[in-house]
Amino acid sequence: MTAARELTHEGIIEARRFLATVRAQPNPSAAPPDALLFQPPFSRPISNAPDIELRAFATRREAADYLEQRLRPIQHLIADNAGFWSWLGMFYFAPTAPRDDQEQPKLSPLDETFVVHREEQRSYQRRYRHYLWSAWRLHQQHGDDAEFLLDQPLHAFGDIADRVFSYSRIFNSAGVVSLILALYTAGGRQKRNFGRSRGGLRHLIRVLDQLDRTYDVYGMSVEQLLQILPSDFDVWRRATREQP
Amino acid sequence: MIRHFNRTGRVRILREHVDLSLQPGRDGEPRVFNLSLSLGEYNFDRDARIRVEASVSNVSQRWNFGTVGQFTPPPDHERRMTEVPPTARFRIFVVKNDDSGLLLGAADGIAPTQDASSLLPIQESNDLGEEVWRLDFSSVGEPLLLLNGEVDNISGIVRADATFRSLVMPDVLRSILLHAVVVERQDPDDDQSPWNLWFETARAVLPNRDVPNLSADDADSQDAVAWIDDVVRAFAQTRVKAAASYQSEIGKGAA
Repeated sequence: MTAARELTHEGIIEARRFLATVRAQPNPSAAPPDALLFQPPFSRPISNAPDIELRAFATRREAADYLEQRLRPIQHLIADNAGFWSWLGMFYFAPTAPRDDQEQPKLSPLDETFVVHREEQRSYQRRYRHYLWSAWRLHQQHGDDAEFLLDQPLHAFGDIADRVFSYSRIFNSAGVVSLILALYTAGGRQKRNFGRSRGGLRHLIRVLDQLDRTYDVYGMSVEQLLQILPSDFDVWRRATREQP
Repeated sequence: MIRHFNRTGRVRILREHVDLSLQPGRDGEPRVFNLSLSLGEYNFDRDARIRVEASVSNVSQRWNFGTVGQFTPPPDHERRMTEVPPTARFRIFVVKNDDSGLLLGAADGIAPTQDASSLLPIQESNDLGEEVWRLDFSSVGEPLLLLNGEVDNISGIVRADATFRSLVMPDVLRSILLHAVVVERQDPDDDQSPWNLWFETARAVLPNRDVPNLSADDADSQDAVAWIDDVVRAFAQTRVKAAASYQSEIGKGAA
């Protein structure tokens, strides 16, 4: 077991350097240097640090369940602590990095999937793309209502996950997340042709923006939202109601 | 006169009925916003809910402010802008208190009022030697006013002492604009620029002049420096009333 820490400004710069090296020269055994994780000036201890173990997570749910249990005592201290989540991203780099068939790391161009800099506006705004932070937040915010997303691997970013994790307005709206999942997923899978077709996800996002002028769209429940959707969405809505 | 602006009967809440301002966070924490509303003449149901949303680009944050009849701002720590940058625009809306989610009224695209000193976080430091203050630019777009912690009550002096403010604040603004425009050569039309708040402050102080946009190749920054001088002159004259304030404080000392 290891006591969790937080990355400093210097640590985040160093972590970005490490990620750039892995992108340029992928190597199956690539791992962040120990100095980055455990030595100043790159990282520092945090109060009441929880002990964590290095392990793999098959899904967002597995990660969220484990982290929730380990982090509960200091939840209020780390919820918005980018340095802490950046350290966690580096600590779990090896088991969470996406890999190709040859087990070579195949990293997203976004450093924020692993590290987030609190002082940089754009980096902080992208924190919903952090594999572990977003899994933990998703479970905290939506619980089992987001089971479709929770049961995906940490780095699965299809159209639905991309919408939910890229727009904080959507991410923070229990009703809209539930609506998207209710309309376009069934039995743990995305429905066919849900993306671009009439009444599909992109159409829904445009319609929600229009309805937002008249309704408190992002504060409404899924039941309320289903009531105000226009008939374009009937086919998806019917499919929703026919689900067992 | 109350103007309805769509067929649902939603009314536009006028800007003059919204008092929205930002205050700097403590020790580098996110900014906190303050809001008060004058909704008396709108005849909204007293139990209609008041919601507030700040957004820019793909990020947003929401708060509940109670009802029209019982306006209940969340406590300071909950009004911190943790999800959105200080450049975010606010939307204030009044929602019917039933299951419809229908908006009864809204004020859209509200920019908080702010003055330069309220934009600037301060932090005491014991590393300034004999300097009383120094600007720290290590965090892009978020200048920090470092104050010499060896000076008794220095933070209180900066917040409330008119002499200090009249002497220092115009020069603080000059240094910040020089850094944004001449050193970093930020594009003032980039709505994602971390310096936006300072550009907006300059526009508010000197509304009829464009913010200079120096490219990396521009060797001549004379016009930009002249614009900064004009902003600072207007700031000293209209916001701080620097010379008059200084004169008044000296007069008190002499009396």
